[in-house]
Amino acid sequence: MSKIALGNHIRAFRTAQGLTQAELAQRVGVSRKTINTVENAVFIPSTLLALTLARALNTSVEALFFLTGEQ
Amino acid sequence: MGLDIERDEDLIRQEGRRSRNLRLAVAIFGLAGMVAGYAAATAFASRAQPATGLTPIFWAACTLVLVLSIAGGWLAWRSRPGAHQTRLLQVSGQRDRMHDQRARALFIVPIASLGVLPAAYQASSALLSGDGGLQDWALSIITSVTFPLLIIHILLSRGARKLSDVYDEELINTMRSRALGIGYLAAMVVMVGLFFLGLWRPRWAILATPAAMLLCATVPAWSFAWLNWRAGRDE
Repeated sequence: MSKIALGNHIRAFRTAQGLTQAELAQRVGVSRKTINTVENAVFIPSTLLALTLARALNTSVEALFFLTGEQ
Repeated sequence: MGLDIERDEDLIRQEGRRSRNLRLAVAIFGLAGMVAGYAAATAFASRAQPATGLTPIFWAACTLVLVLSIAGGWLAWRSRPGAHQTRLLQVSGQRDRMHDQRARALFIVPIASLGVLPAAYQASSALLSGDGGLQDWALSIITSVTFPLLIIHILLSRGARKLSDVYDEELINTMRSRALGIGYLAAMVVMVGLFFLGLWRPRWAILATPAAMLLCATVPAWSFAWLNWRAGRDE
């Protein structure tokens, strides 16, 4: 069984746009903790939240998230 | 996005008023509790020395407790966290503050509930020894059931309907599920321990039940508070 994890570029996209975690959270309509845990790969977001995050950062889900680990 | 500063300040003032009303409601509840304590002491004294004319005082105190409880309950409900805050949620950080309020309550209420355990123990003792009356049944039920239920209610509460999107947030639901999973495991361990204690010393098991119930409610509550704290930590 391969071990696959979810990585993301949220912090890079966010800082590139000059947004704080709280500002992004306000845009997406979630708490800052949600953004923090997703950024740190502690919490895996649902498809709905992933799409909302991508839209808030003007990018695609594929650009924002990627798979890590062995396959 | 973003509100102007004046509007933010207005919304924050609204929150201040709500918070003040909530503190007032807690004070009214506290007063009701003091009167209830006085009534209980009076009833106890009248039981020791009957026909001293204390019954009217007792009933007057009971009526006052009822009135204060209803008034305090109404005010607390009107000014509960999240009651009129749909717009306030647009202010940055307000969602986090609401979740933190819940986590703080989940940490503090179990500690505060420890205060009622001696009363639960005394009431259960009186019932077990055959000296207990109606008030011991009432006290036993109130102390052993109400507080664990209150803690679980705080954990499971989804707030007002118009705020359901806030309380139904994915991360919160995930943390709640994890906390309940840990709580279920702890409840199993506590119940097995209580069962074996009951086989060995049935009286001790009955007396330990209120504390065991409180423990079963405390474990998921503190787990949630810990998960909430960890989620806010920058890694």
